[in-house]
Amino acid sequence: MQIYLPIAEMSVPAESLLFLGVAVGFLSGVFGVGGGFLATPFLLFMGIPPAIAVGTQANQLIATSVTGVLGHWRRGNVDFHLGGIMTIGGVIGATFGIFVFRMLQHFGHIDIFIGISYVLLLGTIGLMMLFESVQAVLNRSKVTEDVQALSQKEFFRNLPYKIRFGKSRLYMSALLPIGVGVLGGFMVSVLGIGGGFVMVPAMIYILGMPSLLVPGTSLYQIIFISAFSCILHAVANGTVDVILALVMIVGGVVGAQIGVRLAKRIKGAPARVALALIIIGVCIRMMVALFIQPADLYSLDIR
Amino acid sequence: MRFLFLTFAVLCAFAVPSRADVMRLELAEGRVDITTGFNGTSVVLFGTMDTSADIVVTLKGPERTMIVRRKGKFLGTWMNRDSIEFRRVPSYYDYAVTMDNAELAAYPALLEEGQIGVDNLGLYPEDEDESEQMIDVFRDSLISQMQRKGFYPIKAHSPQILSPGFFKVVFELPPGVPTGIYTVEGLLVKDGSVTARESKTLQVGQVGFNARVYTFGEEHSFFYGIFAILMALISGWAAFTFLRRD
Repeated sequence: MQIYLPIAEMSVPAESLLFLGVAVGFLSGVFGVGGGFLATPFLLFMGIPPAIAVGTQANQLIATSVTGVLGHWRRGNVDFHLGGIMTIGGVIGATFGIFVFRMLQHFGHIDIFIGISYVLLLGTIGLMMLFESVQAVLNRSKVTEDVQALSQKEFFRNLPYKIRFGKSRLYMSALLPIGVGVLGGFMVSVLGIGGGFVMVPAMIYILGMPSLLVPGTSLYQIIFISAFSCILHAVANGTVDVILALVMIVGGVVGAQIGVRLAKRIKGAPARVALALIIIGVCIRMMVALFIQPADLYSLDIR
Repeated sequence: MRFLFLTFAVLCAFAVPSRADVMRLELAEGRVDITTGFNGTSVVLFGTMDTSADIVVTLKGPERTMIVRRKGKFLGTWMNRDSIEFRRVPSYYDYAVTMDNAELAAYPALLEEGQIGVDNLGLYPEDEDESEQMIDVFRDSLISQMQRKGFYPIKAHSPQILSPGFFKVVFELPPGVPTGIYTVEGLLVKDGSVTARESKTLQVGQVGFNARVYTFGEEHSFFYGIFAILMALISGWAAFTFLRRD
């Protein structure tokens, strides 16, 4: 069955869209990741223009983040204060990101920018995860060193605008969470990903947050940043397709239900190996597109 | 009213005598409605013509600006290097003629005037500082990409002659067809010169729910954004509430 997307002004097979939504939701159910890093590349493979894919992903991210944050909130694992400060940075990052996106699109470099960013992000994260999980599977318990968070280092402690975050038991300059937020906002608005797999390590190793609070707080601030990006994409570019978003959301909910049920039966470490392999697979697929000579050197951009 | 009728009658009286050089053209449907399940459609048109002449019918979509980009190797990766911008390019084009290629080739002036065939669309770049050769290569690429999308024809259709002087032409619009005002133009050709012409417009647009979403997004983009956010918030909340994860 074909479905006509009113904003993208193109007709796509509804089954593939729904299946993509289910697959992304499934991953988020099993591994607790957003799955945006898979959705955007696959929307691009399907022939959806990058602007529509990214704009719509910003919309869909809101839904998945809300579903995720409610659970963490119920268990009291969200630091609203710190999340709020990060949102300030996110708004700055998203605004800058939309500007960069438009410039890249104008000069015809958006595809390669998305491609290179994904290869770098997914490659790094995938390999790190693979090493960590393979070690865990082989039962070589890694000695967890007590790494000092960046925020407690001499230079960062001397930054101005210090704030006390009661919930996270942190006393640090507001510039640090704002800086991490800028990174998150930029990723949402340019790459269409919430970037949990970048934000979570950043919040642990840069801010030094207790890891229990990290996922909930990360999801919490992503809601605002993606909502802000969604408005910007809608107003500045007109590239948010609600029909596309809705199909993906519905698929995602179904997939997440299946994933959560399956997650109870599988062990953590092998599952992380699988996720790492999936991430590396997507990375290789995008890398091939960058380095292998394309069948057609020419492309057409219709304004 | 009476005056209008009179004017019409007079016009008809003047129009009729030159019967020999007349062609008439009518679309079976004046508009193409794109609904949620839209999967391409055909545009059917009928016409009458002078039997001793030939006809050419073209269908052209709204004009857009198109940029053709060519990838080149840069630090080991393939990225867009050169580009040429073509203005006022028909976003859709198809044509039907009663003549064969050899006959058509004999009248280059006619081909150019009537924009008959994809090579005669008059695609020129805005700034001409690129070499002639490069422009040709990029133009050919534009045409072949449009052909691959099904927006430009590979070869001419031929009108179906239903009875002498009465013909039918069918054009196919693919699923992702550009929206806007299309123009159908019929030319009556005798010995390589146009003796009569008629044109009609065809509206291709979204209707119903799709159209409402599109115009809402276009005219009130801020509120459209708010609406999109609300939709996502509600579905996210509903997914959590009605389908507990634990």
